[in-house]
Amino acid sequence: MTNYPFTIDQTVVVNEVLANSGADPDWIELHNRTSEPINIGGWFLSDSSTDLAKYESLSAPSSREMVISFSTRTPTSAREAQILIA
Amino acid sequence: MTSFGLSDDGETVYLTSAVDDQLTEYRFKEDFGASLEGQPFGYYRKPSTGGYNFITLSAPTQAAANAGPKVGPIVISEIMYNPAGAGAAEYFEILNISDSNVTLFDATQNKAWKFTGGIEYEFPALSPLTMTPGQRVVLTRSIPDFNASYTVPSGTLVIEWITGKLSNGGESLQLGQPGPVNALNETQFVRVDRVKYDNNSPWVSSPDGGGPSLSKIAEKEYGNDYINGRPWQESGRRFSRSFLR
Repeated sequence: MTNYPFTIDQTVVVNEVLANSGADPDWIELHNRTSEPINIGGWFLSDSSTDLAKYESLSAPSSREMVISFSTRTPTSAREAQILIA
Repeated sequence: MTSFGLSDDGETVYLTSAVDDQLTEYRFKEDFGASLEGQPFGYYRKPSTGGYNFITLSAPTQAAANAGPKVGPIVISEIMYNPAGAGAAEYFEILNISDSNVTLFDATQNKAWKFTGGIEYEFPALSPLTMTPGQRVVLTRSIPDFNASYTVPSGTLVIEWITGKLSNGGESLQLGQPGPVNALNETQFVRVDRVKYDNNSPWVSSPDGGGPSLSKIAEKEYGNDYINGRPWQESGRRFSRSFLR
């Protein structure tokens, strides 16, 4: 998990994180640093190196700026993530 | 909806590409430390090198360009890591760049601020130190050796740190304040300022063997960059006059 083949200038990166949000939801902003659309539908987000497929993107963004949801792959779980595509 | 919960005390997030639930080749990983409520982390592009630091930003900016780095209220403003003569005369200076008094103690947690990188020193808890706006405090490895080599303006507080020395080859000097507690009920420290200095180019090498020191010129700007507005350069200014005998 230490050697990534891309640089942050070329791809989708975790650009901003609000982890201590008080009563409001935490959030993560992803940034597509390329000039071309990248479909992240079905991509995964995780906070565990041993479970990279913890949360799955539920939708493919149709514009550069939107809120999408990530959900656990277990249908009974209610945990979701809000992701901003800037 | 139950929100996706990130840890106040820091963690790592991973983004992984996938097709039909099968992970594919793209990975992106980002680490971040403990944070205070409402303070985001994000990428800041350093104008000197075009490199990036993932740091505390001055404000959250959802779906917009990232705000600039959060700087202060206390910054590391000067470093002399390898003085001529007694090595224990090495020192650095912190400065209150804000317009308010800053007490280096968290009364809620009964915990003092401390250095979390470079050297080991925790500020007083019984008699907490309050820095007034513009106040400078000097920390040194040895007050006798420091006093034998330098003079300071009248009234300047000089503190001797407990353990460690400033690396002559460069390292990260980091100040932290008490922040969230982790699952073990241990206080995690939130970075207030960090300078990863070096004795090699592009950093000036004069502090590695006598001086002048590294002195932050643009004191209210981001400091972990050798040339962002040229905040760090050979002192030759304030401290060559006031400190060096």
